[in-house]
Amino acid sequence: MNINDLSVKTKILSGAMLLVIITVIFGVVAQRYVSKVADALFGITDNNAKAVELATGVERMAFSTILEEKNFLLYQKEEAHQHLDSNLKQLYEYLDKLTELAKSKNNTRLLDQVASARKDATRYDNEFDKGVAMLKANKQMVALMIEKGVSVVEISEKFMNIQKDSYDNAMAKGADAKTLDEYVQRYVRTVAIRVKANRIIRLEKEEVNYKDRVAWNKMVVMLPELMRLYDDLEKITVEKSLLDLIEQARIATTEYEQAAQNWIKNDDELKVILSHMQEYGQTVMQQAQDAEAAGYQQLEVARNEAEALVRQANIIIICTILVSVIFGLFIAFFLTALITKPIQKGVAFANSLAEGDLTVTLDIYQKDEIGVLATALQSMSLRFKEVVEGVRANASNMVGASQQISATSQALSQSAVEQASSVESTSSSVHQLTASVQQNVENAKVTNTMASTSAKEAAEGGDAVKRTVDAMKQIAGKITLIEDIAYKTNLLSLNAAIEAARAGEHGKGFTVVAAEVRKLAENSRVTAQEIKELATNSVNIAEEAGKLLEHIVPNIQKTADLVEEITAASEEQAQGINQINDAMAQLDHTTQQNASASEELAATSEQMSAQAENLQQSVAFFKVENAYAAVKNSSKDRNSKLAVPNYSATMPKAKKANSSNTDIDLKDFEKF
Amino acid sequence: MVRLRSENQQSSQDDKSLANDAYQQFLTFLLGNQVLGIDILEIKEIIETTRITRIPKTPAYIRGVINLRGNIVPVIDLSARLYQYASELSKLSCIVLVEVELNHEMHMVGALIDQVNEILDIAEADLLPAPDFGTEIRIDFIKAMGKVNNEFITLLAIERILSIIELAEFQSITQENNQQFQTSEVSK
Repeated sequence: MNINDLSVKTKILSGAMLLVIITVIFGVVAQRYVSKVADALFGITDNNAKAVELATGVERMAFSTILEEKNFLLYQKEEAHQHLDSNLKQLYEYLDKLTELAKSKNNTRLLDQVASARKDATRYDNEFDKGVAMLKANKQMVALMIEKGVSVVEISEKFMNIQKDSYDNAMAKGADAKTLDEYVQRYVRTVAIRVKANRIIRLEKEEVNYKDRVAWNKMVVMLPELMRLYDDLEKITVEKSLLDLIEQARIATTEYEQAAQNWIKNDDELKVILSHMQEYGQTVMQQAQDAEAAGYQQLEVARNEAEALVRQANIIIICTILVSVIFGLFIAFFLTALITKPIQKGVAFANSLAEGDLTVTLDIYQKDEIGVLATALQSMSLRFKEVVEGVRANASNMVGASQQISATSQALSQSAVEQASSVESTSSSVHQLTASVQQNVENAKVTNTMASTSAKEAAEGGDAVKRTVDAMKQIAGKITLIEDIAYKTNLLSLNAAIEAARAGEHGKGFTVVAAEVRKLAENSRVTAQEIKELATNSVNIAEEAGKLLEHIVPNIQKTADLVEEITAASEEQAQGINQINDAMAQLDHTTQQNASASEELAATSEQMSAQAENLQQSVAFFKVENAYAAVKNSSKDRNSKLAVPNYSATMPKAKKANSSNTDIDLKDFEKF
Repeated sequence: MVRLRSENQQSSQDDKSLANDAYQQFLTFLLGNQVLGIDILEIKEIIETTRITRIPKTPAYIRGVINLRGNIVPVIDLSARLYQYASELSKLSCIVLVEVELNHEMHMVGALIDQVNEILDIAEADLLPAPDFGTEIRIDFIKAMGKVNNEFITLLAIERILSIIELAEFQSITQENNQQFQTSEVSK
């Protein structure tokens, strides 16, 4: 199938379809790469960035947990403890999320990290709980120590007051110096105890505050000294109530010492716990940071991958665009060339036609709309050629025809003169015609009267025939009677013969008579029949005659009418002939006019021949020489065809003139 | 022609009567197309057809009765009797009256014919017996075959045709009718 055979619409549509197909392929490729890039991006956001985010959350929670721990240790508030618990909970949540993520992404490394972090966090939690218990115990111990210390100080103060009062009493009584001295001694000892106790209490505060075991080491030395001071005071004391007091102080001090030892022990353990906690916290943070770092690393890798994909996609998309542009341009140029080339050819062809060159040809052989247009143009130019040739031929014919016309018009003027002379002779013969017509009228009148008398007579003859027929019928009836009589006579004769036969010999003569009678009867019967036949024949003949006469009467009547009509017609003829006379005068006038008109015609025909030459010149604008040979065959018969109508076109004119003349004649005749 | 022939016949008959003297006279008539003959001596009279009164419950060949000068006479349709089809009445139809003997009394019986022809004299030598077969008519109804000018005419035995035995049953009817007729005549 040739591409030129497709219609322009199909060409453009198929080009557009190719472009569309290329675009669709391009779109599919681009879409594939875009989805790949999207997958990479989603991998970054869903997997790596999430892991990093969660790890950061874990780290953050670990930090704040440690912070809260420090706060708690510092202020020992329940609020901080609660914060810490909530932080830990959040940390666990983050860890859970991380576990899920790692499981979903099959990240074993991250899973291990998360597991170890969880273990450490749990340990940390446990240690923290232990530490809290320890702290509580320490608090109790401190409270116990304060209580006991205060009780020792109170006891010593009480003792001092007793000694002072006793001294005052003794002074008032005026006791001896020795006794007074004893009181003073006891008082001094008690003051030493009190000082000692106060110093121990101060050391205790120091230790509790600093926890550096420096104060504790001093306390360890001082506590036995206080005990010894008690012993000294006991030695110089005799009163039972006072001894009891000493004993109370001693017990309180022992308890105090016990509490202090316990505190120290707890504090040591607490230190260990704290170190453990620090260690675990660090580990968790380390793990979180590791996970973060790993996440960041993976992010970097994923980003690189995505970048590579994007670069690849860019290259492919650019390549596809280039290919489609090249294809599109190629298709567009191809289609344009396909459509415009023949159109340009057609334009050139039309231009040359406009310049009057009918020799050019258009060689486009396509089956599309342009091809149809081309064939239409071709046929148009062919028609033009034919028409131009026809016009040329006609112009030359016209020249000849106009010459013929001038010759004919001269002949016409001559014949007009002849016509005038013949018109005169015609008018004289018309006068003769008038006389003969008058005679006709008279003859017709005579014939008319004769015809009417004949009609009357014929009617009378018909009546006579009818009467004859009636008479004949009557005769026939009478003859029937005679026949009957003959028959009866015959019967009688037979009877007579019978009677005679009976009579035998005597009746013989009678037999003869009977026979004779019978013969007569027979004869009369036969004759009657013959007459009857004759009568019936006569009746028939008479009836025929009657019929004929009946026919004759209307015929004669008709003849009379016709003769009357002839008379009327002859009178009309006479009038008509008068009119002919008038017409003849008119004819004469007309003939003279004809002569002058024919001269004018000659002049006009000369003008016509000049115009025909002009026409030839103007038709010469069209060039057909080359094509003339090609078209000659077809134009030959066309010329003949054109020539025939040309003559026929002139012929009707002449005919028309003739017919108009005859028309006038006919009109004249009609008036008669 | 007819006249001529009859003259000739007459002359020939005259000749025969002179020569042989033994001849019989026959009345010939037409019945349909057939020419038949009856012995003239058996005929009483020939009359024109008058009004024939039909009698109910009678055979087809009994045409009816006529009034003959005041007497009731039965009329037999000869065509119906001989050929089994009734003849049509025309202007030329006639009734031939014949006397038939019954119980030693003579009775008048009419025979309806289509047309009378003439009276022929046939020599006895020319009377031949009826053939045993080949005739349309019952053999016992044929008296003889008459040879006239080399043609045969069937001559009927009229007394047998109008057989009284066959007609006997009819007698009562005729008598009754006669009486009634006479009474009606008288009353008239």
